[in-house]
Amino acid sequence: MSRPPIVRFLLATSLASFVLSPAVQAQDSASSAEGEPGPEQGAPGSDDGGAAAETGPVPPSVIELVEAPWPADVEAGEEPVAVLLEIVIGADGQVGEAQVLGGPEAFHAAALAAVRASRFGAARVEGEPVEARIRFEYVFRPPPPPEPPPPPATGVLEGRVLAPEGDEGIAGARVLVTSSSGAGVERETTVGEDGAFAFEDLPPGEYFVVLDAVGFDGAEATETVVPGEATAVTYRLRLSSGAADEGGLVARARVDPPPREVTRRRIRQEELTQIPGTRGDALRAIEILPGVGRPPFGTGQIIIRGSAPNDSEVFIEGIPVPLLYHFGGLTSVYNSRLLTQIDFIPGNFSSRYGRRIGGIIEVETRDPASDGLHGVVEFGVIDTSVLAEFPIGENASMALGFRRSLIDLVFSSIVPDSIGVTQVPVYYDWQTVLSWRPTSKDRIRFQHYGASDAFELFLDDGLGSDPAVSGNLGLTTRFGTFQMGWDRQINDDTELDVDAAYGPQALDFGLGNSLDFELFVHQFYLRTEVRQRVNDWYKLTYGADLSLSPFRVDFTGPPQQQQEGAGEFDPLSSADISTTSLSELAGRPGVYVENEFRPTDEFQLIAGLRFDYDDRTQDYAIDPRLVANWDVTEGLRLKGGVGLYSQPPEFNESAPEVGNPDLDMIHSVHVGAGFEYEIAEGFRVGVDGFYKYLWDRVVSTESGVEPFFSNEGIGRIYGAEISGKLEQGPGRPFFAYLSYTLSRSERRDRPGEPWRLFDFDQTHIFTLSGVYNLPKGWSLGATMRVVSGNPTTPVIGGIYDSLNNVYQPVNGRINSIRNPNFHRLDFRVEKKWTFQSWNLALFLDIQNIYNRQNQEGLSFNFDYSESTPINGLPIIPALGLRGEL
Amino acid sequence: MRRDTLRLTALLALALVGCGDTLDPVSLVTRPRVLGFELSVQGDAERTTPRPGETLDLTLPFAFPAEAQGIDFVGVACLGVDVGFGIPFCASEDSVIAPLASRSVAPDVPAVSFTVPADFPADGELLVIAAACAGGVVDPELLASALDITAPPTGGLEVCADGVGTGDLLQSVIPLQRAAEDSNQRPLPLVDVRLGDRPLAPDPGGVPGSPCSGMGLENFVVDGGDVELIVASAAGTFDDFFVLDGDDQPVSRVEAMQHALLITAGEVEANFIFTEREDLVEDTTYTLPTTEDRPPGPEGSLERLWFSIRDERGGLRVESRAYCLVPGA
Repeated sequence: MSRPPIVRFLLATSLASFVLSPAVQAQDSASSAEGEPGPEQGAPGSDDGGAAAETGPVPPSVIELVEAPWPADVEAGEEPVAVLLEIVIGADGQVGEAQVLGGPEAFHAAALAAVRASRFGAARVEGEPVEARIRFEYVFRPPPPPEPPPPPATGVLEGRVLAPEGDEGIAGARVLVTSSSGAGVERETTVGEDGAFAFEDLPPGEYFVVLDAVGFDGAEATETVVPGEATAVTYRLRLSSGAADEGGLVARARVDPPPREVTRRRIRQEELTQIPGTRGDALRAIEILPGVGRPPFGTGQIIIRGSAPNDSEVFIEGIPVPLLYHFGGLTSVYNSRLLTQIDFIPGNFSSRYGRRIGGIIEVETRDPASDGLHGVVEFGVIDTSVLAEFPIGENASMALGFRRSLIDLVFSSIVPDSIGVTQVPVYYDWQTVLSWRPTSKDRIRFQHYGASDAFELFLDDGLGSDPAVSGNLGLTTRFGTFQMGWDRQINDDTELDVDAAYGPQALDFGLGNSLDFELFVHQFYLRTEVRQRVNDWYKLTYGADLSLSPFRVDFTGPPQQQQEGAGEFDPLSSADISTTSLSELAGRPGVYVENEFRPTDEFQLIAGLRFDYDDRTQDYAIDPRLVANWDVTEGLRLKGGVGLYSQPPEFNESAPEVGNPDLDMIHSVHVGAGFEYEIAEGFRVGVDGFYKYLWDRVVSTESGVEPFFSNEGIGRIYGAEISGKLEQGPGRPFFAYLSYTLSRSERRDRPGEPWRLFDFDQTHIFTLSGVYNLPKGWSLGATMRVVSGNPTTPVIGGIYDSLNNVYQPVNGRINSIRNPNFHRLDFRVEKKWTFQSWNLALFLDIQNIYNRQNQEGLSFNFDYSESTPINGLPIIPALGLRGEL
Repeated sequence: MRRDTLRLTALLALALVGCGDTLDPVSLVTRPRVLGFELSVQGDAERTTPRPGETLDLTLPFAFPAEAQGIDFVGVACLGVDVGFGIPFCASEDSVIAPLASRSVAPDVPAVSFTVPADFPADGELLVIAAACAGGVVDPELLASALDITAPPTGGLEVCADGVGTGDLLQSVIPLQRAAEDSNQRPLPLVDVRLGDRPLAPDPGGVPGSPCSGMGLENFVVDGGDVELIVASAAGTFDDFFVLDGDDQPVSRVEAMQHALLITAGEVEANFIFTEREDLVEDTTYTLPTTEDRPPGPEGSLERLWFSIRDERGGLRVESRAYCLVPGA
């Protein structure tokens, strides 16, 4: 077989430019030229063109070089890889023989395949195409590095689901997240022993989180997922009401924020701070709960199930709070964004709580954020506030909050000229929280919080019909509480809580020279509690608390008398004004024990006993309490309880000289029963009936003669509450509360007198509140309240007191008529913008949107022959701007 | 106590700031108004504090918005019970010292006298409770219904027979003189009363609203303008007295004078003016009526101001002044 003439060329190729190398290996050419025709002259693509054709053989040229892929099994480096081939290019330009002469073996096949698929221009000798054998270096260039992945368009929601105390995860807890926007994202997971969970690759936005675990109350939360960030949360589930160590009580209504702690700012009391008419104040959301009466204008009093405001107590982390609201009742004294949850217990409360016969509100605060600096700044027309949270080291975090009212900026303009403003109304409050977890079993928390309210008006002489009402009218309240709490998980079955607090409290109220009340208290409070799970069906809780109150009272004014049920008060002018100073120590220790029996998973019985002593009256009380809960079926719970409750008289009532130191404690029995039923997913209803009987109530002596007060009063309160709650959830971007209370609260002040209505008896209390979360950060809400008018005492006229030149009112039957029914609609709209690392919200909260003139009382002319209504708050639009980092 | 105080403060502040409709000011006389019990011990006319065994004269001055009316006065003087608050009442029906009754014909006012028993209890309180009906007569049955003298009143307070007249129920504790330091003298007459820096002449009598031209009164134009009303007390009107402090120790005090203002037209900024020994002259603003409120005739309109001066220890003196309200130019 004859071999074609071969011209040997060495071509250097470039995959990028497809340009033939001009270098011709002379040695190869010489050897290949033997007996073989030379390359054709002027081959296409040849740089030397026709000049070569005229002078000698023209080497083959590359017309189209196929690019070979980098072998998949070879890791690409930075340097190119060359494979040396020997190929035969026919006169027609086709590649014939081809063999590898050198280069990495992994590249051989690819190089051969690529060359064979490439097109060449034939070599020419004297202008004629000839077959040529050439060496061809095929160069593989490493593939370019992969493009960096686009930034993630998703975020992560991760965290832990923990038991109510300690660091123990709730194994088996189910966590379901659903996008609030209706985008259809829904994920679910079940947590392991450590309680940890994580949802990755969640599109950004708000998610509705539902937690469910056997033996625990379910919980809900709304979280925000930010692109590229991990939102870390910790949820603490409460033992189910049937298993709660102190809960599960009859008619316990819990404001239902998710029980949890937060390690990131975004976790917030979404529903509580959205209630229309509250300006986002979580503590004011208490007003919408069943059993909560409507306080009259501007008092901020807590009226629970027909009990006097002084009969109920508010606790923050187990420590009583002297004041819950600033004056006007528009704002609470504690920043809502530091709260975890609010437990509202209108009756049959645990033995843990003493010295009160009404209801209990327990406010729990959260740990400050520990994952970096966070903050909230809110500007409103009523007040403005700032909150900052940050970690300190690895185990501690801190929060600082401050709020100041802005009413003073406009107050002077709304006061008549005849009233001078000595001190414009100003309130402020502050919170400092330091949380430290030195070990996994200990949590220590320091708090310092307080509030100050002050205003003072100067009244021209003789502004009204009472000549004594002149001079300065002022009110100042101040308190600051230093509080320390230590929670320790002693072992798997035993927990210890120690809370201690100290705080000065001051109250100064004055009206000219006729009335002045100054109280200063050094309030000490100590509580220690141990909770021990003895076995699967028995849990023991025991503890002690001590309230120690060295106080001083300076009082100038008329003889004291009971405030409730007093009708229209006498003018100051007609009273004998006297001055009294008193410095005493009030010590009130208490011990309690609570036994929780759970013979089956469905039934729970709590038997408690509390002992209280009041050293001022030297009286004591032993109060047994019993509560039972029965989960009849899934979703249906029956509950009932009965117990005794006792309360010492107020300081002023038992003070020597101005009061009666021989008073006894006030007592009450609470009886309650009811049920809760979950009609459908996220839709719960409850009905509670209650009865309270009060005895040894402190009342004025007849005509107010010494000893001024006695324990002759009794009372009875009975009624029913209906509650409904529609929870926000998958496919339901709204929530609603419904409450209706039907009740009657009566008092009898002395034996033989007829029963009368309590000052704040409200037969019907209806509240409907709801919030709809719209797309794009909008939310709309409204709260409607319809309440029976408060009882009031008709004034049938006046009798002229010549000595003091004033008419004294003649009261008709105490509380025998009512103010007109109260109704009010509040509205709230909010727009929230979510940015990469912060949120901005603009809200408008309008209280009393249709400006209802709700009558709160009557103002009389000089001789009580004419009157005019005193109306409550008019429409109050509150515009606010809130930024959250 | 704290929450009750807050409640009271809020309601008081609200009432003062005024969220409801306003009522007629207390100073404007729109009906017959009792000005108090003027007391005078027989034989010592300027003393208001009777000793047990002494006789006390009691008169009942009135202010009228228009023509003066006759007044029917019925009541009792009795030993009152001790009350801490509320309206005082007699200890019992047996505790009545004397029935009181007087029917006056305008322009006179009721006047009664009674003698404090010599054996009046040392710690007892002398009380007068009564009813007065201006322009009518007191109905004994209505009075009995309205005023159980042995208990606080609880029913309707109408006392005028057939609904004719303007009735008032009245009461006053009469301070007694058990020791020399208890003695109290009536307030002295005012030294000066000026309106718009013009001295107001003593009241010449006459019916408010009637023509006043030629009566020698100061003229003021009915323009609704503000003028300064100045009241000057006599330096000697302020008695020293003693009160017991919390330890029952006597503490020396000086009286302050309360001047209650009543007017037939216009408006005063302060219904009461207080003067003290160190500050004898006080003032307030008087707003003259407007034509809409009080259109004067071409002869002017007689307007009256009453000053009931109290030492707040039982002493009362009533004085009145007048001016002539005239149309504008």
